[in-house]
Amino acid sequence: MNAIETNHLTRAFGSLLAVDDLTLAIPEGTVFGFLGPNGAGKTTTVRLLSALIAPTRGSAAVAGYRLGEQNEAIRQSVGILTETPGLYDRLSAWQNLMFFAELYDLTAERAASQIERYLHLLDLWERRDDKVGGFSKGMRQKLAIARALLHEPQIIFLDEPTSGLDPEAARVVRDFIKALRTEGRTIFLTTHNLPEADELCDQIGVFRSRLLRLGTPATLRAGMFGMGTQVRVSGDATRWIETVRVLPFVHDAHAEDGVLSVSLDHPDDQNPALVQALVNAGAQIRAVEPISHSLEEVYLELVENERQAAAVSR
Amino acid sequence: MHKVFVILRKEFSEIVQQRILLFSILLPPLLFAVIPLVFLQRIGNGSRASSLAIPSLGGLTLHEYTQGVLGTAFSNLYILLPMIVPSIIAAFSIIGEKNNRTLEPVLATPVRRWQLLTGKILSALLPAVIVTWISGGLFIAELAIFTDANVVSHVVTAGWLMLFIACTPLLGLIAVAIMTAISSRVNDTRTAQQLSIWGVIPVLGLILGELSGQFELTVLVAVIATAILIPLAILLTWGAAQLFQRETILTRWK
Repeated sequence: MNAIETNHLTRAFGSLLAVDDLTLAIPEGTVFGFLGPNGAGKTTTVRLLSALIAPTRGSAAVAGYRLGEQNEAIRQSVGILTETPGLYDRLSAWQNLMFFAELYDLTAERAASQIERYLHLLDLWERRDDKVGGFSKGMRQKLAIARALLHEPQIIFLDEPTSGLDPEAARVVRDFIKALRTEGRTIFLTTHNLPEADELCDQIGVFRSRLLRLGTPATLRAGMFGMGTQVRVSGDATRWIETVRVLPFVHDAHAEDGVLSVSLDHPDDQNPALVQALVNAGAQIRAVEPISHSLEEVYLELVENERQAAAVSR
Repeated sequence: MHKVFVILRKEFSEIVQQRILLFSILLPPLLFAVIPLVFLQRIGNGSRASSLAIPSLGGLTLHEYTQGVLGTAFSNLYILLPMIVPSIIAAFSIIGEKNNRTLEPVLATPVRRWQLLTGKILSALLPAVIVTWISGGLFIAELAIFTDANVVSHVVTAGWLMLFIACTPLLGLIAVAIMTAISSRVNDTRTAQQLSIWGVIPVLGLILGELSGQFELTVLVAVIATAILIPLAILLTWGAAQLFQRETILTRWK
């Protein structure tokens, strides 16, 4: 079953199309990464799916509830970490959480129990009676995450959860996200931190007003750059380009600095034959590694392509 | 000292750029300079003090009349008070939430719009009404203790009492509604409070009308005022409610 389904979801602000024809399905219990440049419409998408604003057209179902018809049920079923934590500085951590727990209709006992649980989990228990105004950015972020989880939502929207955090605090938050996934929760994560998305996400959507690409990190890489193998040889690697190009499963090959880069569809299956061909031809193999493109390269390539396409269409 | 002037220059340049704010700063002093002209001219043209007679103080001795004039002047401040206090609270409440971005997480909860708005309105209105009524009660007690017996009944008239009790909540509600509208468009409380002066002007007109002897604050006047304020309060509250929609707060509040 899908936790979130959208069907041509669109949101315009006057002539500005912030979200254009978004159609996707996010299975339950996955971490979905939503990547895009500043102003791409990521926050608008989160606001749409959490029933904060209405779509211009299209439809969506969140936690089984229809957007626009069951908005209150949607808000009860999701938790959201907004771009800024939005905590009350003059109230203590406990008071902040109790306020929101009551807005989520938790009983006093349940609220107290949940607050205690999450403050312990996020290492904020000792500071429960301190005013939030004195909290560091990392502590505020953790408190805001606790707030999003008090009512045990099955779907959690995390808008830039590690933005501005020091490495230690960011690691705590990432580990916490992994723990949430093991509980079967669905996490919709917007982030600019591409290594983080690579580490955490089961599926990634690259977005710039419209969905540019959707897939797992691996399929995104393969889809953009293909798959391949790098073979480090002794001496000039250009000598062996033709040797590998004649192989039927090789799409292309080029050499640079003693490294032969070969494009293949199935490196795991085809590498033995590739290496054998080079050895038979007399090459001295020093190392064999998969060609690895970072998610950042994929993302930048996609966004740049989109930017150029948009410029051409104008 | 130079840096003081640097900061002053920056502050003044910010004020000057906001024309509505500038006008709101200049208007009250202008009013307070022009309005006394009416009083002074009437006194100057008349040969007797009673040419500026306050109808409700008729029949008092000179000593009682003096006390009555002061008492009436101060009693009318209690019609202003329910507009000032909730404005302050509402401004800090709404603008504070805007600047700290605390409204979005609240809107993301299942709380309904009417619940949020009612809570916000009552948080500004209840303290204002309570302090106004308590303060007014103290004022009446002070009148009873420190003025001649005849004065109290001439200052605390049935009309004033009705206006004070019935219209305090209505005026407070109007002030909160106006401040909600203003606060949705400005980002600092100073500006919001300066702009809220516009809502006080009609009430000032009522006060000055009575003090200048244009009319007497009778029960009939109080009933008419209440009858005008009720639909006005409803209309302005409805207007404020339109500004308190989730979508409006997130996309149009500056």
